[in-house]
Amino acid sequence: MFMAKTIINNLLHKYSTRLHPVEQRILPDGFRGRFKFVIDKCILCKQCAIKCPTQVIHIDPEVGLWERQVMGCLYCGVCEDVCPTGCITMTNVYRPPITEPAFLRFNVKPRPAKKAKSGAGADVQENGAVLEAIEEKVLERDAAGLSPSKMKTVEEQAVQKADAEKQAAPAKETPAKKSMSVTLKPKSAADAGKKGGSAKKK
Amino acid sequence: MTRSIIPFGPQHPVLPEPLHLKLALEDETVVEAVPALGYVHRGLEGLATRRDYSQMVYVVERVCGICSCIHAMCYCNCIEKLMSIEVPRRAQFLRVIWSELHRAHSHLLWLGLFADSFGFESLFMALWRVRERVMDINEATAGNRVIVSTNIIGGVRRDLSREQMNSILKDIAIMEKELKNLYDTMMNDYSVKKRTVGKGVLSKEQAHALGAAGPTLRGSGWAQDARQLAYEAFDELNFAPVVETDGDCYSRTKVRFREVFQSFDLVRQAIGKIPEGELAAKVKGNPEGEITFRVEQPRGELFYYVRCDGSNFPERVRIRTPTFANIPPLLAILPGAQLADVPVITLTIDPCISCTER
Repeated sequence: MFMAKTIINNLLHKYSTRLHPVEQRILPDGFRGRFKFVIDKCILCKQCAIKCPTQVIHIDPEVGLWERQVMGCLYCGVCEDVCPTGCITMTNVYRPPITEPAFLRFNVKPRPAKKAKSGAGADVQENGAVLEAIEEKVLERDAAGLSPSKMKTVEEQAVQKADAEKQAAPAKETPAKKSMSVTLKPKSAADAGKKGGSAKKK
Repeated sequence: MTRSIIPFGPQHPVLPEPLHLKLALEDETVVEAVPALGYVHRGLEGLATRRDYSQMVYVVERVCGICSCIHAMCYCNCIEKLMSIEVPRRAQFLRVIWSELHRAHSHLLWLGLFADSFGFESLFMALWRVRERVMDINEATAGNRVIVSTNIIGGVRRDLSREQMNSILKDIAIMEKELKNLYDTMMNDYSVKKRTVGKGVLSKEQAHALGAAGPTLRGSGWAQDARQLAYEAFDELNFAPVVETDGDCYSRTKVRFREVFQSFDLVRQAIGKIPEGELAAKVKGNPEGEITFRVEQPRGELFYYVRCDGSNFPERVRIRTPTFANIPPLLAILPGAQLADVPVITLTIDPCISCTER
């Protein structure tokens, strides 16, 4: 008799678990998930690299390199907080797993040296033209499905691209003229990088 | 009688943490226990001297996987005291809310594991289902389930809106109702009593002499809780330490279970009293001097010592965690126990070895 109530309750109860592949969990808006980079907005101010607790972001303004060691990231969201241009944002999508040390690399337009900045008007105009082109680029990308709901972030696309490159032609090296690229370093190279990093700290 | 040595851990089905004990047995009875630590040492104290103050907040959060928010809170308090920063009142209340949610989910995690340790698996699942709600609150409000990263030096990073607070209150009401049922089930169950009552008794005098902390201490009849020091917003909140007098596994379980209700009550009070205002004070310059600070972690009293010399990096950060204090009492209560009771008794101090070894 004691059991009857419990049994009836359990029979008429709705599921305690989610029917996973069919029913997806909706993540809250504030979730610190996968990164979305609108790298064209980046002004190479180095704020993210300075504030990063694990120091995995490396920026070289002269070459225009923005690099992140993906595995070392804590997803604390500090870079998002300090970014003055809103280049780094976090979406409410689960972050993808990776199995080996990967570097996320972007080639940004190098920041002109201060002397050049105060130069002729022609340069400024040129910059203006470039900026316009960049704006368009961003719009294009957004249209291509960069919104968080579409699950396709730059990071994922970049990883896929790298995989494709790796499969297609590992020997053929193309100069990195694209706006973004991820390189999965071979193990020895990654180790060498690590050693270099630790030596720097010391 | 000849003694035999049985290794217990570091990989053991009931232990979530790599604690290793060498148990000297006579027949089935433990006569001596020797601990061996050092399986998860990560050198975080050394790392602390090579990261600047704002970066280190996110690193000390990783000292403990469960009560991350409380570690960060203690570290921030040290630096704020050194730099004499006045933390906004609203930020203090928000810190209390998140830290109490952490305490609740830490205790629920432990209660589940404890139920699992004596084979009551359905209770384990029921408790973790309740815990899931706390995690969901953390996820919705702070952006992550356990490592919330809400504390910064000078205040907090995220705010709680009115709607979020209301939903927290609603969730708490549901959880309290569910837990009330589970409390009656767990505490009045025949087999649970059989496994816990009178096992691993730590007397009041022993608890004091061996320097136990947290629920282990309060389970032996000492009303000592670091929250009584009224750090953050605890000066405005009413609470009394949860105390049980028997000192056995059963009373330590009871302390933790009652503390879950207490935490929910504190969250409710904090949400009721939270003032409007700023989230974080401005921070300028580097701290100088040395300071100690202690807060109440789910496992007991957490103690931070920070020494700074005015440069960008701290000179020394020392973290003393409650499990470190609770290992001597564990070694005192193990002799005389049956081998089958060792997992249950070991779990009742809620060992967090990652904390201890940092």
